[in-house]
Amino acid sequence: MEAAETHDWDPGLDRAFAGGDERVLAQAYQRFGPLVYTLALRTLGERAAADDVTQEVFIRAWKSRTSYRPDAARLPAWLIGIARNAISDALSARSRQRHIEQAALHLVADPVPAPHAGDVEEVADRLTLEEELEHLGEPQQEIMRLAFYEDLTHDQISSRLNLPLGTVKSHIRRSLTRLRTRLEVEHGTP
Amino acid sequence: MEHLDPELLSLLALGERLGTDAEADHLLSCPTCSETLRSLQHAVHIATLDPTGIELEVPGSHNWTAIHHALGLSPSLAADPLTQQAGGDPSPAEKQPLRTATPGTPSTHGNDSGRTPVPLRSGTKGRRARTGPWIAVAAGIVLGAAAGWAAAGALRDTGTPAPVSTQSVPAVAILAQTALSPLPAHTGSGNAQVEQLPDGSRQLVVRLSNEHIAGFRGVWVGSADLTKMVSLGVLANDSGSFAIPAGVDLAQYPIVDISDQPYNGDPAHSADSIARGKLNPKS
Repeated sequence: MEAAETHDWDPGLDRAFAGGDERVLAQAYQRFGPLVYTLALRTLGERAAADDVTQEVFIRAWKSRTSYRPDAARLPAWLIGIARNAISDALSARSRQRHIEQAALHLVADPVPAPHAGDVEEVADRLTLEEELEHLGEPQQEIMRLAFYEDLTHDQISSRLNLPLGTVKSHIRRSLTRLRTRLEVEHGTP
Repeated sequence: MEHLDPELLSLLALGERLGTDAEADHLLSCPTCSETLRSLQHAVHIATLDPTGIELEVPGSHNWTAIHHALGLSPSLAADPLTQQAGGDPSPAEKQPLRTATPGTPSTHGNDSGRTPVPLRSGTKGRRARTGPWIAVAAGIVLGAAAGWAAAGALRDTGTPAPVSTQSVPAVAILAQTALSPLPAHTGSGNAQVEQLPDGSRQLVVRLSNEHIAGFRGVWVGSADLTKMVSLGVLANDSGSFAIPAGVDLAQYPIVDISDQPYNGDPAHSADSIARGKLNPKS
C-alpha cells in the first residue's frame, strides 16, 4: 500500500532513539545506512571516504541523541541533515589537505555529481519532505495525504473531510508551496 | 491575461484536470506560470516518489563494526544489521521500500557487499494514471499540460476570475540560499538566503527554529574550510535579516553558520555551532 511508504518509520522509533535504545540505532543503520553511504559515495567518489562519512554520521547521531528532539525533527530527516554536513566537512577536509585554495573552493562550491546521483538525492529529498509534511498540522496533513497517496481530487477531499471547497483549495496551495520552498532552500535552486 | 490563480496551479500540479481554454493558452505562453507549475510538480513528484528501482549501495560490514566498536554498543548488536536481514524475515523488501535488500548471495560478507548495487524493491510503481501525463513530462511541461487538457476532454470553467498572481516580479533578487541543518548536539533547522535589495545592497535572511541553548545565537558567514569567519550579528528570534558588508565576497565565504555564543564577552566564534549550510548561488 502506497501510504505505508510514507509512514513506515514510526515516530515511536524516534522517541526510542532519543531515549537511548541501541536497537533503534541498528534499525536506523539498516534502513538509512545504504542511503547515507550512497549519497556520500556519489559526492566524494571514493569508497574509503564514503565509509568514513557513514561511520561518522551514525556515531555523531548516537552521541547527540540526548539533544535530539523527536517532536522537532523526524529521525530520517535529521540523519540526512547530519549526512549532508558530514559530506561537506569531508569535502572541506580534502580541500585543506590539498592546499590548493582555488581548486578547493571550486570543489566545495560546485561538486560534480556522479551520473544518477539525482535519483539518490530524490530519495533523500523525500525524507526531508516527509518531515515537512508532518509539520503541516491538521487538517492540512490529512488533506495532502488524501491528495498524494489516495489520489483524491479536491472535490472528493472536500466531501470526505466535510470541509468547504475553498478551504481545501487554499490548504493545498499553501502546503504545496511550503514543500516547494523547502526543496528550494535545500538545494538552492528551484 | 492575468496570471493563473495559484490555487489552480496547485491543483494542476496534483494532476487534476481543470481550467478554461483561455487558461490553457495562458499557460502555454507564460514562462512565470509554467515555471511555477513545474516547481510545484517537482514537489509533488518528490513527495510521491516511489523508490522502486533506485539503486543504493550497501556499506561494507566493516562500517557497522567500526560504529559498534566506537560507541561500545551491546554485544548482542555486533552483527551487521544489513547482512543479518538475509535470514529471518521473508518479505521485508516488499513492505519497506527504503530498506535495501541484501546482496544477492546470502553468504556475501564484508567489503564485497559494498560493491553490489542493490535495487530497493520490486513492485508496482507510480500514482494513478490520471497524473501520468502531468508528472511524466517535467521537461516539456507546458506542452504536456496542454495535451493533457485537450486529451482529457474535461475542460470546465472554474467559475472564478483569475486573481492577480502572487508570482509577480519580486522587489528583491535572491542571490543564493541554503538549508540550515543542525549540528550533532543540536536540533534547530531552517534556511538562509542572500537577498539583493533594489539599492544594490545585500542582506542575509535567516530563519531557524528555536531550541534551548545556554548563550545567544551568533550569525556568521565563513570560508569553505571554516578557517575564516565574519560575524553578521545576533539572531534574537526565529528569523532575522543581516546586512552583508559590501567587501565580503560570498564566493570566499559560502558557509552560513549559526553559533551558540556564551555570555562571556568574547567576540570570537564559540566553536559551538548550532546549524550550518552552504550557500548555493542562484543561476
